[in-house]
Amino acid sequence: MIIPLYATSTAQVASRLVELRLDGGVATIGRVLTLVVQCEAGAIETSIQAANLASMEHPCRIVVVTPEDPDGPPSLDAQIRVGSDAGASEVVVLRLRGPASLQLDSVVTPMLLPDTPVVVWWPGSRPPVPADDPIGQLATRRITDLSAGRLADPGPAQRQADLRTLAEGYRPGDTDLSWTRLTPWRAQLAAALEIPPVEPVTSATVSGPGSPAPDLMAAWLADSLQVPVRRELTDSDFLTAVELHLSGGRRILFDKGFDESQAVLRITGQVDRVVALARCSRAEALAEELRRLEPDEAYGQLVQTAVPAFIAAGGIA
Amino acid sequence: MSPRPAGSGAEPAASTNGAAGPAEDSAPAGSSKPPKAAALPATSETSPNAPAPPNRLLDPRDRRLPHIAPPAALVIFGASGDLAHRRILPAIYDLANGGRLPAGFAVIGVGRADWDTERFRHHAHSAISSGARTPFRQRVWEQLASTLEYIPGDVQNSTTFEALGEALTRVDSELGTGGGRVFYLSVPPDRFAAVALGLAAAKLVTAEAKVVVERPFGNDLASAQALEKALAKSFKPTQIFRIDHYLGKQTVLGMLVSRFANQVFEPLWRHEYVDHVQITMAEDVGVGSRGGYYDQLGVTRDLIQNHLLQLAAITAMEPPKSFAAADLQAAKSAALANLRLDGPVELATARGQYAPGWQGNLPARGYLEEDGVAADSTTETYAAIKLAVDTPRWQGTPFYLQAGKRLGRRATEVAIVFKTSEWLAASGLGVGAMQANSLVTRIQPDQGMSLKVGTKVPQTALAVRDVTMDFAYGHAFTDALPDAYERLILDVLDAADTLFPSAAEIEASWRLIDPIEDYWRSSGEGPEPYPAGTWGPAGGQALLARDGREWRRP
Repeated sequence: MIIPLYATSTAQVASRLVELRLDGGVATIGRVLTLVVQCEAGAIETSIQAANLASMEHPCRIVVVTPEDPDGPPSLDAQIRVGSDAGASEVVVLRLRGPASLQLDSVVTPMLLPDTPVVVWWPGSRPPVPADDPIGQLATRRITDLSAGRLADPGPAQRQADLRTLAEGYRPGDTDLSWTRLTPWRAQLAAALEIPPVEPVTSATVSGPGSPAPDLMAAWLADSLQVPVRRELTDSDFLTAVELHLSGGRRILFDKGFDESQAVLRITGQVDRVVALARCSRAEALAEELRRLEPDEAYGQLVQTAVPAFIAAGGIA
Repeated sequence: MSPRPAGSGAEPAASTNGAAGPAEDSAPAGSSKPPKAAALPATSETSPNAPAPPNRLLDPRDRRLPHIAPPAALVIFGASGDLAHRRILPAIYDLANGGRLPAGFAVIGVGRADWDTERFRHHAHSAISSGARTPFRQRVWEQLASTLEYIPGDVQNSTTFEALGEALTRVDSELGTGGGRVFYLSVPPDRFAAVALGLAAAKLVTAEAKVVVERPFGNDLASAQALEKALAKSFKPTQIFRIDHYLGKQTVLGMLVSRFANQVFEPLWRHEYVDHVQITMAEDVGVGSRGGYYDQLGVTRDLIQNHLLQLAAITAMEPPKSFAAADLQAAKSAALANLRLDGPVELATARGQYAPGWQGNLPARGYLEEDGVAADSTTETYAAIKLAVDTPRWQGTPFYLQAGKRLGRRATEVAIVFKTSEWLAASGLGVGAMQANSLVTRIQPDQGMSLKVGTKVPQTALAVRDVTMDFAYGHAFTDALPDAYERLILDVLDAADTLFPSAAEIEASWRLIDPIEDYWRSSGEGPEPYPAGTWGPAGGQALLARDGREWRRP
């Protein structure tokens, strides 16, 4: 059910939410957090779709807020979605015009569930310092997506600048979905290092497009293994391969190529192994983020230490 | 959702192995003979060798990284059977689909059906189509199918194990399973010994091999001990994993957390505040095609001895030192050893057998008319028992357990029923105005928790009634709630034994159940009939009524 509320106010939206709960008994499921989504009008539907799926794992109120035309006549058009149009709870969409679209924190505040964590997600463009953003300030966890809307390969200068924004804008509680999407790869790589004979890694190569995720993978490997890591640019839309060179001259190669669902693990002297390695969807990545609401220290180390060191070492060129 | 801290593999094992003296296997990295211990995560207690160097990609702070098990071949004995079809094969597919299986994985089915590998793959395909939790993806299936093999044969026959040995060698070289072996005994318990001996005779039990057995773990104490003995001939205790899939349910783990992490519950978790505990496992189905098997067993041995007593142990136990396997098993074992039947068998138990009736809108046969069931069977399909817990915490607080087939609806739950408020009685509102508070953990279906509290009725001067505060886990999201079997298979592959009951727990359970079974068998009376689709026989209600209590309707 979608309930449109045109030319409304946040107070009306808030009281309608309470009414719906009282009248229809909707949203009887316990809610664990409020997920605020700030996006452009064109991204509302796809963002809600992903958030709804994630809410199945993490029952939450989803508040989508889209600032449009701050110079236009002031107005608030809202929607409340419940039942089959929402995930495990309810969705509130707030479209703002006029000066209020510059006061998003005030607009969102009445919509937050009492005494539960607030997570904010920017599916599109990313504020330079998420924790300083008005909505970011309401939240303990801030999720950005550096990969969103990026060109396939904007060139080394832009890539470096992109990663620097992650590092410079970082405050505990931040994470970025371009890192989240690497989790399945990282888990497989960590497991591959334990397949005997175990030898130290001496260098590594990360193949993929000139985009944030492969760059983060390379920086992570360089920092955790303390070895030189080379970036190889490929014309693909995600990582295609990661190769670890071992001290004995052997190598461990994860080769995904352009396969949608699996990769081949090639270890010198051993038979090829196929592993399932599907692309992580946006909903899956978002659900993973919502599993932990405390700051991700490993991510903090990545963007604050590993990334600057990797850039300084000339890793992104 | 990682079965253990992702970083655990990175912890140097030296601290735990310190007492073992200097590392024997200190072959330098790059030596032609690889150190064997490296095949296992460094935390494994089964490894007699030197610790592997820490895996630098695992960081204890990196809590999102799931641990992926080392390469292994999973051998399913009883691969053509019902459990493999309904549970094991779909769970393996779901794990593959989620990218949770190790690189280098193979499934070797051993079964009595005279199939070839092609037929087994076909069988697995149908099992997955009908039973998998996650969507069917052709590519994932094709990849998984290429790792499936089948060996027809009887486990009494040494040629079966010779063929298995050849297959294992083959998958090691062709699929990179790296010598890892997990033997899943999905066969009746009377075949455990044959399998264990056959594996050992064919020298297939490596130091890191694991064996998985399914309940029932025996039919009584003696047979359980005999099974343990048979397994112990071929496997060390740390290599044996006993699957009770109830313990893999998210809610059971959730129960541990709800109880110990919450200051609103844990202090109340004792006899001063808890009136009694009710644990119910109700099924709406009959015995179906399992009639012949079930008739030998009955619900007490089929469900109460394992699932219900485990739930009772988790509810009753003292706080474990940690959630590490050894601590948790010790706490559960101690709780089980402290459980006793509260009174003579005839007063502290009830049993029933379903008669013809209506299950919802469908007519249902009586138990005695089921296929494979003796016409004069006295096997119980419903049982209820009243237990006392001999610990200071639970003094005078009974635990009532009931399980049955063809009951009103399918439900498994643990209800903590609190004492009624003294104020309510004194206030003049009347004790009957509301029921006692209860905290209910629903295990299936509809996993979740609910808390019943009294509130004032609107529009009245001062009337009180119960409301239920409810929390349900979502279930639609594909990765949200892995099936219990997935979780347990993953834990076996990873040698993480937190969720598996120990031999001591199994034996303690039988010590409790055996005298009940003995009494029933010698009493000369049969179980009390109850119409299918109802909540069991009058005796079950009377068990609580004698104490002035009643079962809450699940």
